[in-house]
Amino acid sequence: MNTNKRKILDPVVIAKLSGMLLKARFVVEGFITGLHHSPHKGYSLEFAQHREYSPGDELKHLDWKVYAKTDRHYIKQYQEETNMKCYILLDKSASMGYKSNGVSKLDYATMAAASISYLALRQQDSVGLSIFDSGIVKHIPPRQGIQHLSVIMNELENVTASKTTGISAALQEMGGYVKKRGLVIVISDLFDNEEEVLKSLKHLRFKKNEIIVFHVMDKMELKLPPGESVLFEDIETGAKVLTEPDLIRKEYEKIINNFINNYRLSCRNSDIDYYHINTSDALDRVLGLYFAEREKLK
Amino acid sequence: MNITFLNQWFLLGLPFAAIPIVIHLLSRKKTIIKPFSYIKFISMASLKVVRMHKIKQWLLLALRTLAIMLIVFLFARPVVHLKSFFNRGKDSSLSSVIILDNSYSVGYKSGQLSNFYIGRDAARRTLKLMEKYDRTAFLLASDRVESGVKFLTSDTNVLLEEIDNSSISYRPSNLLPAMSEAFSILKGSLSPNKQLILITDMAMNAWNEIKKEAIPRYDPKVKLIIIDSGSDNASNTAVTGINKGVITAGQLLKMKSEIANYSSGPVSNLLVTLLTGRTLEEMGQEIKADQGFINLAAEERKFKDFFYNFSSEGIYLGKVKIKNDNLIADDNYYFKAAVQEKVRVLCVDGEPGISSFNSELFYLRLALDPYEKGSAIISTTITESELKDCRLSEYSVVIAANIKEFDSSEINALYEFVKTGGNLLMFLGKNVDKGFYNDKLGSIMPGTIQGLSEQKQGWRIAYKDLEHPAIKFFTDKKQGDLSLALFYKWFKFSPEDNSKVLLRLSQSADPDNGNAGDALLIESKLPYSKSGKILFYTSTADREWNNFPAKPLFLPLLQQLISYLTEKPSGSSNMNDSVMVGENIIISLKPGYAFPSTVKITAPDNSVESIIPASNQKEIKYEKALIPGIYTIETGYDRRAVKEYAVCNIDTRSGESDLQKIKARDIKTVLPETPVITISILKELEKSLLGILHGNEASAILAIIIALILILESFIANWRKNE
Repeated sequence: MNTNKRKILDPVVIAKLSGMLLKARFVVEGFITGLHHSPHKGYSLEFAQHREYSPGDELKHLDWKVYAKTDRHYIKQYQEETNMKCYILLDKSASMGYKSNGVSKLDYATMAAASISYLALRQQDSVGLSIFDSGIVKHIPPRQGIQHLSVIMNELENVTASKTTGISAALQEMGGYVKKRGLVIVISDLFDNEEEVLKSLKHLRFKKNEIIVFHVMDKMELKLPPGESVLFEDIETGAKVLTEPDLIRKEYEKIINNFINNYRLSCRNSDIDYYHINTSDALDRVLGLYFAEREKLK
Repeated sequence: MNITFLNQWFLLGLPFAAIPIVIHLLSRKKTIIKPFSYIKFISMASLKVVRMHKIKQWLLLALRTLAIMLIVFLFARPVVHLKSFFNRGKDSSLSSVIILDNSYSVGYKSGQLSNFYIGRDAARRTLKLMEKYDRTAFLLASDRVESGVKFLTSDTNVLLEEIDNSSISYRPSNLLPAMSEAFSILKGSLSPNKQLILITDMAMNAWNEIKKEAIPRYDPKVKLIIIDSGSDNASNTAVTGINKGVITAGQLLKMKSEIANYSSGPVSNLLVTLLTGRTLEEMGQEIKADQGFINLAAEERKFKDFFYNFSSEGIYLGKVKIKNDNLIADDNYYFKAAVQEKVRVLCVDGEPGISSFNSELFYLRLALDPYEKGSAIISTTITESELKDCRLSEYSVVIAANIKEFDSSEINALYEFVKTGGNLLMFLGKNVDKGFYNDKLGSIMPGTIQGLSEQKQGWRIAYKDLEHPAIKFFTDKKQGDLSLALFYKWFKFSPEDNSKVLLRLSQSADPDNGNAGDALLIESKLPYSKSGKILFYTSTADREWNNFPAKPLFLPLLQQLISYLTEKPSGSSNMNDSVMVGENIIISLKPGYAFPSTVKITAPDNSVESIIPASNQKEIKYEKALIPGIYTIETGYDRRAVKEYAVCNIDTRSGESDLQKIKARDIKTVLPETPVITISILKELEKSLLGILHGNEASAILAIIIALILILESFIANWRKNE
């Protein structure tokens, strides 16, 4: 099991991400002072500014070094850090089980979810995990502490692809679990009714949640597998279609690009962070890009 | 349309057309099954791309297959046969009968040459298109088969000689005899390909009797190719007859000539001329007796009146001619007239009145002598009792009206009178005892009196035998209407078989009912060669039983009847001296005479035929009256040379002068089972005939089609390829 954990928490990925801070775009109220920026300036871990001492201030916040240099009493003020509730929604529908190389979309998604969970928990954030197919099949409420990581890891290790996708239903159901605003990370191939999915995402965003969508796709889903005459069988529905991939490839790419661009554009318009991830891309690089983006928001 | 091939062995290459199909089947990709995450987008793309691709692929396959097939056909050299006429292989022979129409209507000239010569040339050209193994017969035909090579032969020299020797006739056309002969010739041929090539001006008259039932050996497999040598919208005028009436010497005579316009447009100021002469030489001088102009509406017939005074008794020759048009043959009409001294008529009045007005013959005498001593007829009226004292031989005609009885000597005298050439015209009336007439006058009467018929409303003349010389005058409706007269009483009459009814009465004037009506005027003749004519009128000559005497047409009818009765055979021999082209001129020997050693007949074209009669021969039949004009017959009796004339006219009554063309659909109606194709002689005859006889080689067209297919294939194959 430890080996599996290690596999999921790829050390290379984690090493590259550990130098970055996963920060919420918006300041979230929290119970624990952490790395996240708080709107309440006070006595926290990170220095914010000096202020002249005034009667009533606690002496422990007096900056003696400044007093020594200037002979004036200044009080150190710190930015208050809050912890963030992070909700990870992982799609485990049958379509996520597709793989054209060694890593299925679900494998890739679980690694990404574990990495994010690990990072978030290290920053004292609460992390929750919801696994869904046609609806949410497993919900782990957000908790703090590194010990919570093992709970999430257990679930991630045991997840297998099955059943049809119902992303919009899962997102709607998720809305019931998110009581306070937080960060919702959706990891899915988004193979569902686009309008319904976007509608549900927007609904979550409307409730002041920060939403990140990791749109995971296999490279063969982008280009179609090679072949002159192929009978494609839908692994979710069992439906079949006989076609010539080499013949339709251009048209297919056009359609799939439209599909992706539609999500990208709609998400951008709704202030939702959308990232398209190819399972052949390095996970650390993709997460790195994400966190780089988050750094800018800091 | 049938297709044959010149190099049919190349057709063995047709299986090569399957090459694209085989390649297609062999190159079909093996389908592999692959699971996929989401096939919705694949279906969408497939729906848009694969359907078009498949259509394109099938189209390419079809085009490539077709191209190979056509290339094989190209090497096999296809020949297209129009309208399923012949499916001839290279060695399949063709049996043909060429019929060349030489009726007088093909004498029409629309240019330098007449339609006949154009048609003859077409026959020659048609023959030259035949293959050496084809067999052909040739018939020259008008209303009969004139001549020809009446058997199938491949000797084109024989056929060409016959064609070159053929000439136009002056006969009307009737294609039935020629077509019957042609079908008979073709019946004997074993060739599967039989055809009848008819070169004609398409004049409608020729087709009147054509129907498949009328052709004894009709074979629906025989194809009919009609080469139309006629002129479109041909116009023609013709002289179609002349009405002379009684011609009396020294008196201004009115003659009526019938002119017909067969054109679809009117004819204005057509010059019509009357020429007369006593001899052929005088006729040659073209002495104009009278002339005038006539206007004719489209398709109108009209009489042109001439006035001429024949100065003395004897035989006159004459011709009515119109200004020559494109068809000259019917522009002249010849006649021969026997000018006689005044006609003496004895009128026997069965009911003489107190005044002449009340007498039975009042109207009749007026009709006979309307000019009072100035007319051609001199009538003498007697009563019934005076008849026995009369010398009947002094009269040409005896008119007996409403006579109660004749005694036996009178009956004998009348019988002898008629027997020796006298003519009798009898009217009935209230004095007539039908029993007496039937019993005693049976030998003279043309039938039996049945009984009196009385109709208060009056019956009218419905039937008129307009072909009869005595009645023909009334063909021209402008002369008046005979049916205006009403008849209230008449004797029903049962005519004998050898008698002829010229007029009939009926309740209505509708000609359709006339045939069943009661006889009014009957003609008969005694069984002697020299006997005169008998006319029998079943009503009265006065107004007692009818109002006809008060009608304008009573006078011309009487004049026509007397003219007919007194018309003598001209010349010194008994000869039918007015014939139609093709009819025989028959010269009968006079009783008590013998033919001279030679009878010489000179035709209008100056050809002479000398006939040497046998010693006991009673009659000479001249069968070569084939040219319209005047024939001179030189005979000799008692060592005296006698020159007589006979006139011959073309038969315009046949309708041959009407050049209106028959339509293709009408030919199809009369010969529904026969494949018919009509080609114009003027438009690429050889090309059309070659196409029909041998088909058209389609290699060039095929090569173009193949090229187009390959271009199309290339275009489709590269279409959207680079997208």
